[in-house]
Amino acid sequence: MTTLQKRAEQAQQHPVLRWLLNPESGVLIGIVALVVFFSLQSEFFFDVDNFLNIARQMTMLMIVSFGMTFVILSGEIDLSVGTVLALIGIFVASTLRRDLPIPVALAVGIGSGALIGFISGFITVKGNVPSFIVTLGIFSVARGAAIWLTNSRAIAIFNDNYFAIFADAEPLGIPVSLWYMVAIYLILIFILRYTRFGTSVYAVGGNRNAAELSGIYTDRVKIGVFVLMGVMVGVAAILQTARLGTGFVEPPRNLELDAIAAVVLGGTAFTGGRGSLSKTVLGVVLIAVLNNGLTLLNVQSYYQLIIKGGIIVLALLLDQWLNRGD
Amino acid sequence: MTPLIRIRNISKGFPGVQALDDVSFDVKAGKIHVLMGENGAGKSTLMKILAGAYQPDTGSLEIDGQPAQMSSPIRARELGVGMIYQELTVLDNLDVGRNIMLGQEPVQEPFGRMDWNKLYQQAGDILTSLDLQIDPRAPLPSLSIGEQQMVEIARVTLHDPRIMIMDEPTSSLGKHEEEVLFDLVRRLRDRGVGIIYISHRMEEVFMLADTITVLRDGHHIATQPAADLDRAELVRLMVGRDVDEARQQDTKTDRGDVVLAVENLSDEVQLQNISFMLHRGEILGLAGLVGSGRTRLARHLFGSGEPFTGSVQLDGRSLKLTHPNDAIQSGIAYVPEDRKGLGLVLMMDVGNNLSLASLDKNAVAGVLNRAGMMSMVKSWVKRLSIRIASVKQTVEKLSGGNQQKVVLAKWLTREPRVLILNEPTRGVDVGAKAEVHALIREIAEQGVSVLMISSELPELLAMSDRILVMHEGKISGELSSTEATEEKVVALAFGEGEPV
Repeated sequence: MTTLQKRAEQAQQHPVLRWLLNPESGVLIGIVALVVFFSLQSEFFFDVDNFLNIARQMTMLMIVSFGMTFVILSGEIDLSVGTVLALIGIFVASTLRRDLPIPVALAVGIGSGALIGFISGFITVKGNVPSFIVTLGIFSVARGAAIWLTNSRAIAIFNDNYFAIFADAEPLGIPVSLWYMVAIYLILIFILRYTRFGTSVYAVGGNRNAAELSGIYTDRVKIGVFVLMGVMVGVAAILQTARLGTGFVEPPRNLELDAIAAVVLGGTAFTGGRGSLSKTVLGVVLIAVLNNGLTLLNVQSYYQLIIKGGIIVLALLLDQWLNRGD
Repeated sequence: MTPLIRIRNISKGFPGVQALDDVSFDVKAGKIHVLMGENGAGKSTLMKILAGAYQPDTGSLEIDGQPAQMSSPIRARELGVGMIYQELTVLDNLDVGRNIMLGQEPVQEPFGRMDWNKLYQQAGDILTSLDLQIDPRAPLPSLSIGEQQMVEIARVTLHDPRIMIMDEPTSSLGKHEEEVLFDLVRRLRDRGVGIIYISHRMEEVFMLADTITVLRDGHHIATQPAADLDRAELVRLMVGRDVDEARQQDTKTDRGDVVLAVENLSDEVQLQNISFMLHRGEILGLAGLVGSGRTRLARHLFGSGEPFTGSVQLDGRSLKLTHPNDAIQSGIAYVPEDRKGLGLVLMMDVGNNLSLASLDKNAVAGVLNRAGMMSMVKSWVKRLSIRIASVKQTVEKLSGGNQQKVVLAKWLTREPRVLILNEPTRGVDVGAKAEVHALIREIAEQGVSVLMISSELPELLAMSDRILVMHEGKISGELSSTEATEEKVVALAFGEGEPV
């Protein structure tokens, strides 16, 4: 054992230090450090309006990352979320363009998300193909379908009620998307902690054989996880089209990578079985603060990508190092 | 004549077991030397020491009268030891020639290019020298399992070994392929190679062996010319103990009603016409060598194996077993042999592991009653005196005994009718073992029917009301607890119809 590791171990005896060294608090410390840094660097950063702005910007990533947390906890991965989100956005926008009522548009958005998730999960489980490959395929199919259906044209929405309900309303002065985000968080926390399905997700991700031998239908659990992921992408697509007023063919850039990074930054084991939603929240906030702050500082977008990538890798290295004893 | 290998006073211990204790014997050149013994007798450990994979704690090896230090597998190979493992180690994605020449590929200058022609020629020469009609350019998957094994042997003979160790080489071969293998083994012997052959099959032992060595519990029991031994004597040597220790006091002779009735259970891989009955409150031992099909049978009964034919009835009702949950809902529970790989989710805590098989009982419409679960978990932790700091502790770092109690408790929460135990005390220390034994008896007294697989004969004899013995996918015999002795069980396990 190296001296450093020994020291890390001694440090874990001390309650305050142990809390600080906890990977979850590691991300929290990172967030605080970034907030302090950006506040000193930019006069616009430390401001209630800017914070609400950050919250609005991160809604989509947050909801997708919640779904991704379930997927990763179950030992799988979903690379298709970006292009699937764009495709569902087009479905939703087209539905509204035909003057169909809002509930129909919601059903189309959430239903198509669930269906695509079901397809990914079904092929992964029944075909015994790694989800990495299946969802890479779905990624491409969804992208192609979106271009084919629209001829690469954006589909504008003219439904003021829709904008009001999903983008512009501010109950108690807080953007409505934030309320949706919190509601979804509470529902998912409940599912993860207080349902058979939630416990099964941990068991399947931790040891699929042991879960199966405990009577859990592990195939169904995995398919269920992909369906849930699809529903989250559907919800995120609805909020996103309302915010932009348009169904765009272009997927949000690097959505899948940011979501995976947020989940893993939060300390959820990439191999499955260990982690939680609250940790993912911190991961998403870190990425959102970083994006916002760097933009306010007028950092070129290519520098932003480099800095973001570096910070993610560093954070994971640190996490790996601190957890080596486990 | 100086022996080819002299094994002198070899001892090797692992935490909790003395695998080999002062073992000495000689192996001569040009002889087939069969090594026999029950599971855990120390055969594999000894082979690994000869092949340089393990280092002995004390003792030494001599080759041709010269001290030989097998410090690594490579060194052992240099000293002329070739090893054929039970599992094939040839690579599917390479052809025959490349498999044989793996790591010894001929190259030509400049740049060390592969000399393909020479490679196939050399591989072909080796195959010819073994009288094998195999094309060195054939892709490996086009060969039968038997032929693949020949390729494996050809690969070892490339190094011109003086000693060839074969660990149950026929375990995956058909009858015809066996003959071809035996011919090859005899040819190697006639060339002067000393062959150490591990086997569990009486017929082939007497067909091949020049000399037989028996190990038991890590001790060398006998080394004798095969001609001086008969089957009965060999079984006696393998078992040896003449005391039936810790025999269960109050053996039940009046059995309860039939709970589980298995009839003509067969599968396409191994099991043939397995039929037996399990009674209420009975502990039925299932003996047999590793690989005899015991675990396969258990998995079928729990709905977690491949498809099978035949019927399984519980309380007279036919069961359809396609998923463990079918078995669980019918009242069957299964404690698998591999606690860490199959029994527990190591990264989850004690509470979640213990309640994992009874989530349905603690949920309404899929929503868990966490408080109820917690009190259930705590009562079982107390009842089985599982020693933990908190139910939130992960099971990973618990001792083997405590882990096993968590697995047992997980199934007891379901109040099963039939409890199948596979090696319930493997890797469990002596104290916890006694507790587990007492618990199993208590469960049986409460009317649960127990089917217990164990490779530890004393445990099986002490616990069981009745013992079934399996041999190569069939039930080779049934013994009541009064008539069961280690000799009889071992004879049946080795496929000897006539108990000695």
